[in-house]
Amino acid sequence: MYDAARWNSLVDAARQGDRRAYELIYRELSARLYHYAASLVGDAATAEDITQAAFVKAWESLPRLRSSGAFIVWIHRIVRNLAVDAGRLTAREEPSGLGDGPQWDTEDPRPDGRPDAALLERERALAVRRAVAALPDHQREVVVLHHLGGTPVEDVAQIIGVPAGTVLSRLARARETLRRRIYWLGGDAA
Amino acid sequence: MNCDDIQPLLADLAVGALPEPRQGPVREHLARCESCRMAFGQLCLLGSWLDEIPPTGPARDLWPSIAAALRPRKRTLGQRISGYLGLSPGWAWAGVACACAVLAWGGLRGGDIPRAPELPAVVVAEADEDADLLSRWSAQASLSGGPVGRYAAAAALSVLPESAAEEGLE
Repeated sequence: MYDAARWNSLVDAARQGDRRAYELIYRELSARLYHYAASLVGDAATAEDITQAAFVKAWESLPRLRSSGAFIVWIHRIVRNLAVDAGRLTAREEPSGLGDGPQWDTEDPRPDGRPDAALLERERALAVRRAVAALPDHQREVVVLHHLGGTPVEDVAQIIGVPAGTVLSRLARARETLRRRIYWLGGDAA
Repeated sequence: MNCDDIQPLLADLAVGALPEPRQGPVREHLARCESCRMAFGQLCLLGSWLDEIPPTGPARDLWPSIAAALRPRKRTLGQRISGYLGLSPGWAWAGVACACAVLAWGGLRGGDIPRAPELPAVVVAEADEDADLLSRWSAQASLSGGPVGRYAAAAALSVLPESAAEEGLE
């Protein structure tokens, strides 16, 4: 997903105190980390606090990071630990609500410009987001990290501390759940 | 295998979690069962839909708050060395370690390090006499309340030509 050499040089520069490099890292990762935090804790304000705290904490501890290539997994783990500290990771039973609201709408119409097609695509994206938000915690976490965040399965395994096979298994179960819940796929629930 | 056996395996196949030896019977079934083939297609399609959804960032830019909370980093010795040399910290420390090893090896071997050429005996003798003269001038100046130590030596040097003539030197 990223140019590894460029990424490592950014992390190395930030490790030596370069704030500009760290801002570039923030620009690249903030959406992924915020989205992950929001999927864990379920509300936007807490997710913002966690994202902010994660970047500050990572800055403080960056000189002790063993390798620049480990940065992405490491900062995701910081986010996860902060969510656990916030006491929200396992307590939430309700859907996160992140599937609702204008922030989840896709603004880009289809390339062919047909309004019905664009509308259909927006509805589909919204339905998928809502279905993801309603997944059980352990399934939602791997879906958000792997599919929406673009994190490789091996990295997801390191972030949540389970074997890669378990991540794949959770992804498969999540896929089944989503298929059942999305009405136009012919599942048994809308 | 019938549809009931196959259905639970379709999602595993779609995400790449089904081991290779177990894929054969499932694929054979899919080739002849339209219903399972459709279900499998839906599962694969869901994967591509999920991949298309971009992560949603925070509603506001968090960087100003983050930047305000970042403390300036005190650079370690290794970071200063690596920054000066333009190397990563690991390479910089490796370089320092090599330099130390070379110096230590040279120190142990001793004789291999080229020494400065020996001075001719006359020059050494003159140097000894100069040092003796300076120390005497220093002591004299000290007794007479004049400058001492390094300053006495400087004072001695400033009057050296006259006294040197008295002592039989140039």
